[in-house]
Amino acid sequence: MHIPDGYLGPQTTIPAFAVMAPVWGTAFRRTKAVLQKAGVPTLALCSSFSFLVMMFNVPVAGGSSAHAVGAVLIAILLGPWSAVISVSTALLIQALVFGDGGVLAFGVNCFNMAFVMPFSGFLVFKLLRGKSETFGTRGLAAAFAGSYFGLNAAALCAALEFGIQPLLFRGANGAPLYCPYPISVSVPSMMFAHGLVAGPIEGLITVGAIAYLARYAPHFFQQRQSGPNRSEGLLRGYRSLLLPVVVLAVLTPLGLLAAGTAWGEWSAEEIKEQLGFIPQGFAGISDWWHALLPDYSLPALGDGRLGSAAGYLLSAGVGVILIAALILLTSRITAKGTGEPK
Amino acid sequence: MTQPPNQLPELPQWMTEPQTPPPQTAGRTRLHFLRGTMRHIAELFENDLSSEKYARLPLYLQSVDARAKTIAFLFFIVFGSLVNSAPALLSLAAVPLLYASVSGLKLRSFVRRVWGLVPLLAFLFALPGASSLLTQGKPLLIIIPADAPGFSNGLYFSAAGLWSAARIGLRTGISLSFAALLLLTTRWSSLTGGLAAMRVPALLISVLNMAYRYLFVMARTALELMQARFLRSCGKLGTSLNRRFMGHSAAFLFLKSHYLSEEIYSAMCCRGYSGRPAGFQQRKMTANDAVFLFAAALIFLILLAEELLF
Amino acid sequence: MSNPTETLFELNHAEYSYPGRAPSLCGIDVAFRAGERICILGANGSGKSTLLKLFAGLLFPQKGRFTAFGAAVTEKRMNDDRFALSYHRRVGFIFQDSDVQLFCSTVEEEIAFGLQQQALPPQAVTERTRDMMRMLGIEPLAQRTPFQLSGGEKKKVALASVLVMNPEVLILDEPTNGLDPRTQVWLLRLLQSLSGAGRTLITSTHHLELAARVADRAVLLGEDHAVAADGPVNDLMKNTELLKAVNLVDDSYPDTIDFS
Repeated sequence: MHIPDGYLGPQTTIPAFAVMAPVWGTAFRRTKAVLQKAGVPTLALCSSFSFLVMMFNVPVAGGSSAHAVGAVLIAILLGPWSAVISVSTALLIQALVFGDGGVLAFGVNCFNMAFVMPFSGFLVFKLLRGKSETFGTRGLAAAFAGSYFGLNAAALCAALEFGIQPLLFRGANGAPLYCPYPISVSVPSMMFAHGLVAGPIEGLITVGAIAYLARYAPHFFQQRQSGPNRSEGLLRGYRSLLLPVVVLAVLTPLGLLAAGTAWGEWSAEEIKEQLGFIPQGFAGISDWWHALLPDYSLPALGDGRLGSAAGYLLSAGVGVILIAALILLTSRITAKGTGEPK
Repeated sequence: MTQPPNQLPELPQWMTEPQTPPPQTAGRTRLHFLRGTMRHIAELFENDLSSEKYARLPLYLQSVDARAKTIAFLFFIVFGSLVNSAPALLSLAAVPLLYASVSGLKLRSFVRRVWGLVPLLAFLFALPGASSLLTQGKPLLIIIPADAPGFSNGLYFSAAGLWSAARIGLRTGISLSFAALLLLTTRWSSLTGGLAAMRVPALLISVLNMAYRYLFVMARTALELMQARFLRSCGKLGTSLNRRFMGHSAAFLFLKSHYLSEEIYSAMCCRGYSGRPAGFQQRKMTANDAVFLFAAALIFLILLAEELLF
Repeated sequence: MSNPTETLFELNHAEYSYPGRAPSLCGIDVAFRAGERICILGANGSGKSTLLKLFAGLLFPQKGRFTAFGAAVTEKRMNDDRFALSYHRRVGFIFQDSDVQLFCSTVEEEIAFGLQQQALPPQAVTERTRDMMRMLGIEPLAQRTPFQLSGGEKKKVALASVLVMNPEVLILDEPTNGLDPRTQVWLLRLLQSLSGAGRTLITSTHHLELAARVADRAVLLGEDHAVAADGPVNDLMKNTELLKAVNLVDDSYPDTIDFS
């Protein structure tokens, strides 16, 4: 579920940040209002908790295991807005420390796992639980269903994000630039895996944790029942969600427009078309470079595919040597400037 | 007082008899999930130790301000997700390695850490999509000939298809390398100071810092839970029993985190906490940082030239 | 600094119980004067930590009164940030678990935290932080993260982070727990010099040998969560019957346990 960088185009990952920004803002404002000064430690420790739950390998069958996300569990225990903050923080630490989930894909991952998952799961949980107790049989069943639904909703979002890539981005030769799988492939395969394996696991972990808390720390639920979400109507509390949904609705067609010319595929001619001219210096370098490596391939290396591949490698080599010289040089300058190690 | 004072507890009969070997259970124990979780948590500690170790070296990247590094590397990552030509992507992939080698990182373990798993998986996952099933073109690598019975079109990889899969792996690896490079050459506190410079609200950074700090306290508890379970597990336990254990561990950790957060809040109050976020020491940008940024800009231009020329 | 004869803390018939649990403190009546060295003794679960948290202004008696520095301390007054800040500046609290007290990213930030909350100018913050690190000999730790410190180093940083605010009263919850003998001696010396400088010290412990070294006066809590004795520490050490009655020691006291 943690999407790494590389599968999604920046036209998908960057709008996701734009969508998440108001969500994060609202989540932070609301949790701060409820928790007051205690907000920082409460949210921080909840984030560490969320991080650890995501580290859990849960046995599936035989020797295999899957990871839990725990976003719905946190939403049930502390409310969905707290879940937004703590799961996002956990995802950020994961992206930085473990490389689990990409840096650019951080917004998308948060959208799926820290926004869609806790809210959809919590909504299902509340609807099914009705007025019964969280740790009664009905409450536990609702918690299972909520977690199952939440995880699958997140997986569906991920599958759609994958699936629109080949529609949006294709190179000049028709090869996909990012994820190659269309919706017809990505949705069934993601939903099959998550509906059959990861969803039930997520539900079981949530139920196991809530049952344990109900038994050994019942006072926790007694305090929580009068918590922030009770006094508000079910929908009134989510009014602030409208904004990100609207932003998403506006940005999606923009992304589709931007896809017309994938930025990276512009050649010098296309730049000329777009800008109306080629910057003088640029044209000069272009000529010089082409003179050095005519037609991407050196005659000595033969024509055709092999020659062009070798030409690619050679020009990459030239670039790397230039860069290496630069890095070495600046590192020398810097090391001299630093002087004695502290 | 159930026990008379000054008297040693009397051991039951079975504890004084010689040990009988435990009954041999068929099959192996299914504790992969525990091993996996423990290994993952251990990695967390290892990571922190190695980043502390490297961040202390007085070398190139370590002496560059976290803000300059964050901005430059973020720029490279975005650039990596935009470019498509082979020379540009390959050169870009080499940039973190060059930086790593002049900053005293062990190149082999850096390469293993960054390229060892995730980019490889990203490439492999993309392979079926890169085959002629989804990406047609001039056949380069034929798996099933076109006239094979049952396959009207055969199965092959085109150069463009293979390259599109490789591109996904490269992009994943490039992003991972820059993130790892930033983490390994920067102390956590200056790293989050870099976020503050990017206008992330100070209270959010306090949450992030504190979450990272207590992650280790909680991870140690989690590790001990798993180790205790691991040491007492002999024989085969049902999968559902193991699943329940993981659920209970989650609940236990939640209680621990809840208790800790209340205690920490008390401790903060005792030191006069008034909701004001802890200050971050902001170092002034130096000539070093300017040199670094200038070099990064030149590298970017070289890469851009490669991208536009090919 | 407070007048040596002034009554600092006074509890009248104070009671406290955590929600949903049996009472932790019942009918507590004690009064401490400035400059005293007091230790709170009691078996596990007798309410020592709760009592300390009342003094620290973290909990408030549900029945009875708590007066500090001549004014009643209530939850309502503590919700006023100005009152809370000045109270917490005067009363320092060292937690038993150093981990909960070290919540910042580096040792330096940790020590500076309390000063920053008082909105002191940055230069004064840096100066005092440095002085405190020098005094406790923890300068080499300045840039380390609290997680990587040993138990003794953590305790030193926790002390530094509280002492840097120059409190009049220092409350220590089981301060020597988990410290090696050398650090224990170091801590006792530090407490001695703080006491010499007129600070009031309130220490909780169930370690009897320590009690006589950190305090002149002892308050003993019984298993009924009430004060069982209050007097000079040396008198209490000799009152074996009383110590047995509150289940702090068994028949082997005052000898060490004999395993022969």
